[in-house]
Amino acid sequence: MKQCEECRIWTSHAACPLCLGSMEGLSDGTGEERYPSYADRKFSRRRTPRITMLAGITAVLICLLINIVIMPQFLWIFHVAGAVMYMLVSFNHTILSKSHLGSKIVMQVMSLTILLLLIDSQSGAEFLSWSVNYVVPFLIISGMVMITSIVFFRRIKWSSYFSFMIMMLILGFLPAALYAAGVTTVIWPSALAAAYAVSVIIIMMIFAQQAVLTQLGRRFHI
Amino acid sequence: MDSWYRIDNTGKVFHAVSNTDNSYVFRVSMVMREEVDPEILQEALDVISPRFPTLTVRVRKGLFWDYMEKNDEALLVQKERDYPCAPIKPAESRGYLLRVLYFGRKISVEVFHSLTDGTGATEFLKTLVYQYLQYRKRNVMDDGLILMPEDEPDSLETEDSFSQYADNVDRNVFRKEDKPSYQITGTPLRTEGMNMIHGIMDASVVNKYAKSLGTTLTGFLSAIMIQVIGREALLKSSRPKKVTIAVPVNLRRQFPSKTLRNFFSVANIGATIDKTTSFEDILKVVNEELAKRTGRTSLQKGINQHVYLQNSFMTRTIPVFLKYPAMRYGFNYIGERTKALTMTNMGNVSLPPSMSRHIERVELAFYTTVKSPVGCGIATANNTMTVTFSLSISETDIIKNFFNELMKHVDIDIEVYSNEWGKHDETM
Repeated sequence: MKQCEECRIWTSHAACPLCLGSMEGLSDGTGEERYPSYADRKFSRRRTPRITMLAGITAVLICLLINIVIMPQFLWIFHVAGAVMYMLVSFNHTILSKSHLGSKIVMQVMSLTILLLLIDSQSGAEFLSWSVNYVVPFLIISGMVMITSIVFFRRIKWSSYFSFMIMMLILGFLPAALYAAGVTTVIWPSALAAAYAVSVIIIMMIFAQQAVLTQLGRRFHI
Repeated sequence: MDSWYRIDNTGKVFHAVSNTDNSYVFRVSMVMREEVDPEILQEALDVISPRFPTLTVRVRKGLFWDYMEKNDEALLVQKERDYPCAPIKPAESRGYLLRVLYFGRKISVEVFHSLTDGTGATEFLKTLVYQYLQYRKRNVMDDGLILMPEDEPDSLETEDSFSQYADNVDRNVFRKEDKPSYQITGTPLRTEGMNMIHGIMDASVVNKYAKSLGTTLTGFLSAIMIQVIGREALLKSSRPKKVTIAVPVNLRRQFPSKTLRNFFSVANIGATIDKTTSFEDILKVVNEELAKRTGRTSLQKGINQHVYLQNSFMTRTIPVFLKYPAMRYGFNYIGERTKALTMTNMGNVSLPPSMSRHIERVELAFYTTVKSPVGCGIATANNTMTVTFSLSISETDIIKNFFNELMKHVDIDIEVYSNEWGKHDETM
């Protein structure tokens, strides 16, 4: 250990940690390793999500410009914006992030629902038809089936899926609400989604009432 | 037992404001006299983990507040590879918000501040090292200074002491906020992470000198820090500058709490510096401010305000996705502007003599934030004081000047070492 002539501190480093002046010839540089070497480690900032976000926004803006200039009577930009939004969610959240599987399922269902509603609203004579009548209810049913299956087969970790299951069950009533509002015209897919949600709630209340109430108490405490 | 805990009053704030650039992860380390055996350390950790139920938790999301739940996953010791105080991502840490690390002779505990403060983390580390030494067949006694692994956790250790000690006498909700402080700026490091610079010195010599000036160690070091930052500020423009440093205060010294969760307050100690301000002028102001802001009355007001704001019906019933952005804004744009840096002195870590023989010293490393790119943690054990600076900027002038100024006052040798973060920027 040698003394830095400028800073007057003692160090074993090859360069003074304060003034960064070379200590060669002064310090032997053979002191004990007190920190790991970071030379072979990658610590760069994760830029991919931000880059994809920027690329997505740029693509939408360019398409918006082209759409307005070339074909202002038909705004196909909504199709593009919906698709870009869905791709961003899929890439940044579903693929790249280490988020909870339940959250990935919920985000997929929600973003795909928005994409389908956008496409359906912009195509065909009716404002919304095939999406709200068939695809969205079955999409939500698929999401509910996935989460409830995970909870059923991985019972030890069921509580970590609880919030996502509640979200999916609430979404399960969305098609029925749309039917009640007169947006949906075909009843059976919406009724099926609501029936699945109600069945799950009844099963939970029969077989795990105390655990469900405990989880609800924790998640809604104020 | 399937237990759960509300996040304590201070923990909620850290929980709301943390992100990649503001990790709010701090580290307490013990440097042993011998190389650490990771297998024995793991055995010790397995035994002591249940003794600290509020630390061995995972965070779950709630609608109005998130909360903590017992974590049944194995908590594994890890060889230190990353930079100190790196963000803890629950998805990569089996849900835990703490890490137990070893490297060479050093055992470290890194904790997300939402769980506990320096006192709680130190108690955890002391018990871990005690158990580790027991398993290494060293003859160590607890002497009543260690929370024994075989004891049941006391309910007083898991209480939220903020709520416990708040009263309705003086809520002081609309107290005058501190004025903005000069902010340290510099060249951000090219890679996320922190440069750690440790200064090791004889504690009794510095302590004795501080006493001779009629102040405490914290007062003396705070005054030097304000002087050094003030000089740097005056280089940029000659107008007088308000330099404030945030000094965390352990509330357990004023209130008889045994909690292992957060129970601290922050005293903003500041002085206005111009070209004529001497060290004695600064020290006088620091002593007055410390006496005023760390007195029981002032701390009680702080607790009351804190608890009142978080317990108001409106705050409680706003969903987290609206509440957290508001808390982030308040913390980053109001709270963070009132300090140049945080300097936390955890004081002398009391260890049984039989344990002290196996421990060289204790370190406390503190996180930096975007608005406060320099942090300072001080810990003393075995008459050795370690002052640890953490930097997320490349300039080291403040640290250099701090140690220089300290050596002008006190005739001591200071050994400095660093993790040399940023040295490999070109290759990373």
